[in-house]
Amino acid sequence: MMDNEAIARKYEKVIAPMTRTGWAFWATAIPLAAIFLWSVLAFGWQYRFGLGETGMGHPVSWALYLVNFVFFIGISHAGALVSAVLRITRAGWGTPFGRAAEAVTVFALAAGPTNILFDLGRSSRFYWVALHAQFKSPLLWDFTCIMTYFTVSVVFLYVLMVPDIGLLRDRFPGRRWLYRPLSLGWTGTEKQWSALGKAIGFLCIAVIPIAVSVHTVVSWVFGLQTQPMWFSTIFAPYFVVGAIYSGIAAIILVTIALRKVYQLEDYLKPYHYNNMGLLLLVFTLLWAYFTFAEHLTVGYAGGEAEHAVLWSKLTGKYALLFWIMVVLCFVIPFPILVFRRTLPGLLIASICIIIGMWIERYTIIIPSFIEPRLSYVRGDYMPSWVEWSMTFGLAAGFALAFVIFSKLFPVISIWEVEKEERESNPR
Amino acid sequence: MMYRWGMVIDLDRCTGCQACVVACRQENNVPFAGEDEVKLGRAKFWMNFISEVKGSYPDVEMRFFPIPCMQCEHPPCTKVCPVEATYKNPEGIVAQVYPRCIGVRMCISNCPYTVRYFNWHAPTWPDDYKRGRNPDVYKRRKGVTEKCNFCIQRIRKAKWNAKREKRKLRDGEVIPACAQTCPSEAISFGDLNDPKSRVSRLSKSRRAFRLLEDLGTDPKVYYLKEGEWHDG
Amino acid sequence: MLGAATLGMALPEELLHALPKEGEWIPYEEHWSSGVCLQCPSGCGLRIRSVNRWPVKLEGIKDYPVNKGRLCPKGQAGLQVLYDPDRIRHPLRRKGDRGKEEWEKISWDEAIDLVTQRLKKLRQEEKSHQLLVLGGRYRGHMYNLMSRFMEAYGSPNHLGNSARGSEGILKGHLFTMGIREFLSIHWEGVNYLLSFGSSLLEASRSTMVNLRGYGLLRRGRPGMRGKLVQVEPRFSLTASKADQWIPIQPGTDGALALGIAHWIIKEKRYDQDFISRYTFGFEDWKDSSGNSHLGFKTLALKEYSPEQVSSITGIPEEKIIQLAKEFSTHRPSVAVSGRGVGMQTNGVYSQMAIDSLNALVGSIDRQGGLLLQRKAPFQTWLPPVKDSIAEKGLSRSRIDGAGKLPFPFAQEVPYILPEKITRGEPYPIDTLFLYYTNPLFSIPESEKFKTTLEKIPFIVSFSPFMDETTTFADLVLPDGTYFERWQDDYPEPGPGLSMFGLRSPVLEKPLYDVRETGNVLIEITKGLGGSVAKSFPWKDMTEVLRESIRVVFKSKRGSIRTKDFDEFWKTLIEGGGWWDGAYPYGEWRKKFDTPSGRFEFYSQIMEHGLRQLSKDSSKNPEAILKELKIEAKGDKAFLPHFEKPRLIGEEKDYPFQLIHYKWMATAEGRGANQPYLQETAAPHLQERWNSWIEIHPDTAQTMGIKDGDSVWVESKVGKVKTKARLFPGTHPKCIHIPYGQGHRAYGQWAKGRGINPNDLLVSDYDYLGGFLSHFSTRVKVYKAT
Repeated sequence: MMDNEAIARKYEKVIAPMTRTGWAFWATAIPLAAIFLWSVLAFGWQYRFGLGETGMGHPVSWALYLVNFVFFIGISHAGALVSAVLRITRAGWGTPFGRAAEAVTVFALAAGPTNILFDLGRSSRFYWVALHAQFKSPLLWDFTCIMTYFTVSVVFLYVLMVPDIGLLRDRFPGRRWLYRPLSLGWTGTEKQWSALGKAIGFLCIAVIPIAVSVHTVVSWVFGLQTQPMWFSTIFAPYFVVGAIYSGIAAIILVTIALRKVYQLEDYLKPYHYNNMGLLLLVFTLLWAYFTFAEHLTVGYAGGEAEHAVLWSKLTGKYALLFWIMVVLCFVIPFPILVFRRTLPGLLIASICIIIGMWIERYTIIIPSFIEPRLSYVRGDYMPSWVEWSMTFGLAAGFALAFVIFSKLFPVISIWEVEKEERESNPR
Repeated sequence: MMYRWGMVIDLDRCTGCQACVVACRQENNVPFAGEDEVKLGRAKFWMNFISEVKGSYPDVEMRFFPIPCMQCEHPPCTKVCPVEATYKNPEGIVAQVYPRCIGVRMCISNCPYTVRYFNWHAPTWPDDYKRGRNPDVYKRRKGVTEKCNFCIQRIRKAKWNAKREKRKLRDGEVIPACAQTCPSEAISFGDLNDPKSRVSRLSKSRRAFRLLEDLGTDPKVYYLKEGEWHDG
Repeated sequence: MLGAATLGMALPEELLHALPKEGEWIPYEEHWSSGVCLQCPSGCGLRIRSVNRWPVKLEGIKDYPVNKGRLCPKGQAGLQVLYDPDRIRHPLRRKGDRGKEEWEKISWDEAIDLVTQRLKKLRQEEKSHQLLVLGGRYRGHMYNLMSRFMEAYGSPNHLGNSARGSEGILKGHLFTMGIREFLSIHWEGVNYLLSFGSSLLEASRSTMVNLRGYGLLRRGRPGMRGKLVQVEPRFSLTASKADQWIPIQPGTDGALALGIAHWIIKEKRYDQDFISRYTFGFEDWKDSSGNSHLGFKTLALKEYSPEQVSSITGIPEEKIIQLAKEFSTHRPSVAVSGRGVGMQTNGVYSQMAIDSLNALVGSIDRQGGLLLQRKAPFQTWLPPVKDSIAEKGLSRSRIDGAGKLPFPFAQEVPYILPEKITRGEPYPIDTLFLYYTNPLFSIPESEKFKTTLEKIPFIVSFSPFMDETTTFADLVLPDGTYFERWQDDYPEPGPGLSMFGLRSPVLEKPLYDVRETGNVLIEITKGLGGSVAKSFPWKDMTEVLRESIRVVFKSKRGSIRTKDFDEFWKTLIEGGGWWDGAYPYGEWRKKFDTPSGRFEFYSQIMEHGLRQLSKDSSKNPEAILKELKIEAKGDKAFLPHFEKPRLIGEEKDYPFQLIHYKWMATAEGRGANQPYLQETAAPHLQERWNSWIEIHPDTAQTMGIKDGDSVWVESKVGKVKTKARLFPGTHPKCIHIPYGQGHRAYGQWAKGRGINPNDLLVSDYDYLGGFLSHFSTRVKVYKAT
């Protein structure tokens, strides 16, 4: 087995971002930080003057914040799920994506529930959800599951980083203060490897049901409500599928970006992306299937209230958004993923999917509010600058977190890639 | 037996004047929202007034309803509040606990009647109006949800008076602001558990119906259908 | 505990106005007082709940006959009148130019002195007739007080009509029954209500009696559910609640009434007894000189068959016959009308036709019919003392030419004032008093009126609010609101029985440095001295009222029976009013105030009046009729008949007829400064805080106008820009605009909001009745770019 020095030299490219900080870093980080800071100020404004600073009203009482909440939690799925599933099935091609995927999970899970904090009437009392919990409420299930998932994901990410941290501890003596405590005294002994293996095995299996449960309960925040076109049994699997769909797209997008910026072409080869693309294709089809099923059911046998919402989506006020979503989530990605699973193709596909899935969340939530069950009540909604600031702020924060993460930890799991290589070429 | 408060609104008597809407706002310290907030749909009407016009000239029809909180027996709103800031009290009123509410608004989205309202901004009154507020009703702050509670302050007062006189409440003794002001006497209020009360009788009328009954919310606000004139 | 603490007076100011925070209870002192609402002419009895001295809630007085413990939304919003932040807080004197709203504060003594000196000077110069008083919403004895003042002072120029919006109805009643009052529907007994454009449930006389009555009509009488039929061009709220809505061509209601009359007469379904005993002019008759005259029966049978009427009104013949059948069968049946009928160029004759329907079925002054509001048995005042100056002033002709051609039967003609005053004919006006009226808002062609004001050197306004006309005043002597004065009130009309209410101040002293106008007037008379002061032997309004009401106590009748007058007075204040037991059915119809003492199909009042006019003006009757723009000739002119309504504007240029209406929140026209009323939704369109026009959806489509588009509406005299709403209840050839917005002053919530349909109205008159026709305007509509 190579020693740390040798490995460090071999994976020089992966470690390179941590050694030098060029102008590119600052050129990215500073604008992102600025946008993020702006959103903090916007939140302060909203905290002071009340949620009236958003565009919400009666009857549209949930809007962009909930859309972002669902969106970010959705993205967080693919991370741990893909990582865990691929590990269990020993699909070696997924290894280089693992670290990035797990990081996406953790950061998305940090961003998602922050939206709820923004959305509360009395944000400073958010912890009352724990203190005065009423478990009949789907939001409590949300709270529980998301906390669990977040904890497990952080542990998952961390545990899988330990050998690499050990490497970094040796490689960057100047940063010992950070890496030493985090490495938990990793030296690569047999006993340690075996313990790690057991831990990973347990976590992989644990993460899957937790991850599925998270977006299921998130879907139930809507699916168990009386609003027309929300009350639906299909919401749980639909949301889970949608989540994984957007999550995989997010991973592809993130890793393509990292690959370009940090020149990681050796580790993230077209062959990897081809397989990722196939995985994404599966979910494209699944997503299209669920969407079609949902709308056909409502269209064929829905009641008056449901039809009002349905037609506003298909031909009415929200038709433009709805059909853009269909184009972005299916019409563009599908042929690309069938015929052209190249890097540029996948890049286009993922961007379309991410934007499309955000619009999908929007068209699930808002039209039902605009046409509530009591047919005499109607409304309208246009997001205000506060909500847009929060949306872009969180996205900027998410990106910023990644940039900083890449400066402290390798974005590709070195020890796993090494292990993978050794196992496929035993010498 | 405990009281079970209910309301009956006779649509054959209702003239759409909206006295109930204004009286309720004055009684419960619900400030006016102003033009800009009204455009965003943020005006709070604990007793709301909804209407619908159908048809084309000259076969036109208009229906309207005064619509307070339905005070459902199986409220969809209480079970979704994560901090239990709203609950059904033993007398059947779905009460809102303002100090506990943190403004999640899941109750608002789960109410199929859309009769819950949120304080998007802090409620404000012009200084001169502040003298004209009812001290029996709490001040709500920004970020909490509120709604009709059958003028619970009047129920409380009446019960206290009855207790002092060591008797039960009489039918018609408790009158919410809307019922008290209605010029055509369309709104009746009372104890549904008392078989002799007016609301008990009227709720069993052949004309009685409730909104969105098939949702299983079991509302305690009954409507009486409009009648028809027959030429024999 | 609640309400039990007596600490109210001792609490610090902040706590007096604070609301309890969560879980907190603040002790307070509560007391109830009575009053009378003044948000519309209904005059409902008020129970006012006060907390720590401040009124916080209004309810109705349980037994008050008008409202029986209930209030309409205008009444409930009343506290926003009291607490209006834009109220005038003390007397004002103009500093800068008129209309610039630059004021300086002056004391009451100084203000009253200024007015008194001015009036004194006028008297000394024998120009007392140059005092003009424009009054509007008078209640109780206030009209008598102001009239008395004008008489003692010596000016004939008192324009004090509180029914300017419905004068047509009053004139119709005048010619048929000799009364200048509205009639009340006896809801407890009526079975069939045929409403010609009466906005019964939104803006009628009296709104509260009709709202309550509607509930009675439908469900108040076990086993009986009366029928309401609404005849109206527009699908109003009342039309939506009616059992049947009959869309009709605007201005042709009179023809419909005559068509119904024709059928009833032909089929002999009329009340023979009533016709023979209580009416005049039904059959053809011969007068004392042996000339034969046309009777109503002949006229109706000859010219108004359902077939003929159908083509005028646009209503199918079968429907007219159905209405006639039902109206005559399901008695007691009553026909009523609203301003849509009365305020047209043919308003008087249309109203006479509708009155005739009631006569045909005998539903006047009986159970289930139309009742005449009985007055309370007040003390009649002794006539005022008039000195020679007063007599001289009173002998001058009125500035508005009321009572002379071309308005022979009018008691006032405010619309002619701009013309007269600007020209200084027959004499200039020196001083103008404005009481409860806002002509720059409520009279069409307000620009003309503005120039009129410029010609008047001294303008005094008694308004508590800075309305448009008050901004042009030189001196403002602010009145209190109806919570801050001593005033009696009797409904016009009410439920019929004899009654009156009493307003007394709710607060210890008025909220601001204001004084009730009655007291100010008395002060002025004291300052004027002489015969004027002698005509006002009272100290203040309280004394005026006590003297007028003492005789009611002495009559030992009604709802208050006490041993002495002081106790009576105390009970009156606490209870809010006095009312007599029952309505004396049949008393009035025994003797109508007409030459024949009966209901006159053939109006002798009109005939005598025109004959006298012909003598005085040396014009022959035919010429007079022509001058009054009446097309009918001979006897027909004195009978109810149909005259085509006149419209101004060519149809090809101005394709739509403008109809403006009032709905609940805007009914009184004074509600724009009350946010609760602004925020109340117009029921059919859910519009708040706004103005709009209603346009037929198909018409809008051909013009490319979508729901919510901004449009210009233009008539021959003005144009306004507002929002268009597509409403299926719109008559295809009309544009409907709600009244109430378009203020240029009057507080932060009223100013600069929406449009005022008065800005579009052209001036054409029903000359016989002597009032402005509100519905003669044609308009065109086009999209605003």
